[in-house]
Amino acid sequence: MSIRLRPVHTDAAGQEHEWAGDGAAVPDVPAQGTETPARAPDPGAHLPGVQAAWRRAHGWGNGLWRRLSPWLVPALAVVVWQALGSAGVIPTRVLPTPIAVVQAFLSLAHTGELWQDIAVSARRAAIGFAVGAGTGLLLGLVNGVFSVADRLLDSSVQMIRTIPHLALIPLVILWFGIGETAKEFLVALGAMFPVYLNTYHGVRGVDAGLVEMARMYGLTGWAFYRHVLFPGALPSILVGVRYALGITWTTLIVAETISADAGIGYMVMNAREFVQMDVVVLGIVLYALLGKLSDVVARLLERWLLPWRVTWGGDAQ
Amino acid sequence: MALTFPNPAMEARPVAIVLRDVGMCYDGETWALRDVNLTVREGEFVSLLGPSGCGKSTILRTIAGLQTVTSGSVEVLGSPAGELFNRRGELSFVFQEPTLMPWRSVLANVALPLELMGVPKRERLSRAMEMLAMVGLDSVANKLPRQLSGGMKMRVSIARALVSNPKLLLLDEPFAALDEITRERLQEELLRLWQRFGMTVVFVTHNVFEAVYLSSRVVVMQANPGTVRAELSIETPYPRSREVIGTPDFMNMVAKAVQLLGD
Repeated sequence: MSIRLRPVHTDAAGQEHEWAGDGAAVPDVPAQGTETPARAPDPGAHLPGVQAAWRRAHGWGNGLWRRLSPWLVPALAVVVWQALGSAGVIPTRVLPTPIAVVQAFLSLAHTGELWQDIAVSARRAAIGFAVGAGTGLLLGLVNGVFSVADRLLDSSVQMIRTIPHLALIPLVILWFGIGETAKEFLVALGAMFPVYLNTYHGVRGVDAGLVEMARMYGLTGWAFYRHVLFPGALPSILVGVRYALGITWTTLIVAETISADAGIGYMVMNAREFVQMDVVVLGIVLYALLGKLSDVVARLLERWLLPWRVTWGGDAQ
Repeated sequence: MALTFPNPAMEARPVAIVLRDVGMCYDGETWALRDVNLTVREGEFVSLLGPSGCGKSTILRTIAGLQTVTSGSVEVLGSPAGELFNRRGELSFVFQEPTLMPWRSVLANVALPLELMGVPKRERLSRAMEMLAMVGLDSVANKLPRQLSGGMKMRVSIARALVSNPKLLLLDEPFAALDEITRERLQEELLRLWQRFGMTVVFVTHNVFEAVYLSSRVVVMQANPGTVRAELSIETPYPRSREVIGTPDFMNMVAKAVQLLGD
């Protein structure tokens, strides 16, 4: 049948050697370099050969550069903006300079108004998101797991989903007035569907082989949800959470601009009345920062909850 | 009538699995399995060999209690199949895919059956570690499955199946997705573990060489409807090594199995 130069199956010592050579080797002591891509601390290590070497040699892919590079473009934009404003190319009544915006920030921060407005907006976002995402998660899990619930509820949820939730603003004002509930309701409605869809998708996408294995080993009931279904669906659920966070801020901006007596939106609309251009821009920047902040939180959550996931770092050949 | 080539030495052992006139029908017309009669004795290494669609995996799943038969009876370790779910740890199943939980370390994956049996944490981790050492993977115990090669994952899957010290091990084409070299190594490993632990093994495969090389008995199946065509006793003594593959006896058995499959 086959000619062998070395015995494959000899003694314990020889065997261990054989095992280590099976397919992609995982050495006991992780060497620096490309042998253990999953563990290597160097983010450039997954790149093949020459490109990786070049990157390492030139400092691309090392910590500082990687951390700073996403801020390069925004920082450059601010510098150009300031320069154009100072040179008078952009009139300040069209767009105040970054320095003017920072000054507005400092004076509002000093009086404490700013913090109060941010707190009010953040509270609305948090409550609305918690209620919406929670409902979406629950519905997604229930419809994903139980086909009876799926048949009863899914098409209704899908129908409601197709209505742009911001179109409900007039109705919401009639129902709840212009108080907190109206804004929280709108945010909840907006945040619910991405979480619902992705949770449902995640539950249905759990590896069928894994489900069968669980059944075979007697993983049932709560243990099955905790050990197989939920972890399996989690990557998809977190994608939904990220989408929902984005929608949360968008919804809040619209809701606060239309009617509010506190919050960032109120601050901006008030400033518009008095043509305080710097405060208007400050409000917009605040929304951007808060949106970015929640995205960062979502990403940290992903990294913390899904360390086991195989991800592709980018850089296709 | 199925042809049989009995092995007298085996006849004396107690019975582990009996299938009596088993039939399996999904839509009321076509029979996936029909008139399947099979007896497996304790400590045997039996392969179910046949083309795809002959119902060999279905038989394995009915033994495991994952599917119920339409007619006939299946008795496993003295109980009707399916009731073994209540006697955890006595029966283990190895799937074609390693089916490891990607979010658990290798060690925690292997410890899973013990966890479900309620074995205290320290004991189950030390037993899982022992089992991992047995398949030569104790050095990767704390890694995640994705950091392992296909062959290593399958070895972890086998370690998980054996950690509860089962009386019966069912394997559904476990090596079909592996490359030839890895498959050979895992065949040796499985034989070594079988001889060490002495559990009853039912092994599903469509690979004639694999079936004849590993088994004490090969059950050749045919399709449409799926049923047992013949049983071949493989007399080559254990421990076997790859050298037997070239011997006339071995080639005879392979030729016989191939002929039975073709008829």
